[in-house]
Amino acid sequence: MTFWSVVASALVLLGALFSLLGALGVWRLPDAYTRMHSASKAGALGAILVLLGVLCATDGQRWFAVLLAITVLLITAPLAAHAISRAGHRAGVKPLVGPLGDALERAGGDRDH
Amino acid sequence: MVFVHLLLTSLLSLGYDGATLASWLLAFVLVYVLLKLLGLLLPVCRVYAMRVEAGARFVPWFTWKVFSASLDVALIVINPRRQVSSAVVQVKLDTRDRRLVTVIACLLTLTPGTLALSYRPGELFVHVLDTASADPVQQAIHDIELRLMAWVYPMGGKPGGKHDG
Repeated sequence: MTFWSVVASALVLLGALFSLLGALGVWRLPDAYTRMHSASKAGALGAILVLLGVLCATDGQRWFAVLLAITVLLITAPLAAHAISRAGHRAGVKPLVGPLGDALERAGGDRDH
Repeated sequence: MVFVHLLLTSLLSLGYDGATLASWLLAFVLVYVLLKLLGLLLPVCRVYAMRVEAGARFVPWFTWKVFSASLDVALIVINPRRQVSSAVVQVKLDTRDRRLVTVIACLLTLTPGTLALSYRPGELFVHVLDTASADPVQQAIHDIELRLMAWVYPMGGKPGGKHDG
């Protein structure tokens, strides 16, 4: 049981915990947009933590693959979340909002410019 | 410039012990010091070194932001009685550079609790998971923008045509 294997286990467990929280969020939150928060970010952050755990477990030998995977995750996760929620708003899915309301709808909705 | 840096770093660490992570990082720092010294003579190197410094400040700061925001969202999700009050807020942006706006929106969407919905020149529409007012969101985005500007344009002011490092 070396130091790095302990760190690796901790990171993998933390990543799994993050993903679990994301799943809980999808189950618990009220509408499509709030669920998108949970589904996109928690999944990506959990996966990044698991990948860092892999990096520690392999003594840094797989660093290039890990770096590549993290970069791809960091780029695709926000883009997908943005694209899906924007498409939802354009298609007329109303967000369930609190007292602050929906500024995008007040400003005339999403349109091309 | 960033390619020169990466190339020199990779060559140095490859020549040293076949590019393990530790030697690569060490070589990266060494080449940075070299470029910083060269910056006394060449303005290009000086600007690049400042950019590396701003980047080195930005990345840990942003990682910390993401994790503290994750904790907030996690607390919301685990507490069964907590009702979220989400909102779509309108946020002002100073920059009109569409590439920068794209990066800001991506970083914003990576931070738990905020999600970029739509953009019009000068303003961003952000879906916020749980907020009572628009001010903290505006403040957070302004913070990201300022630090990103320090990274991309280290000399301040409006940039010219050249954009890569």
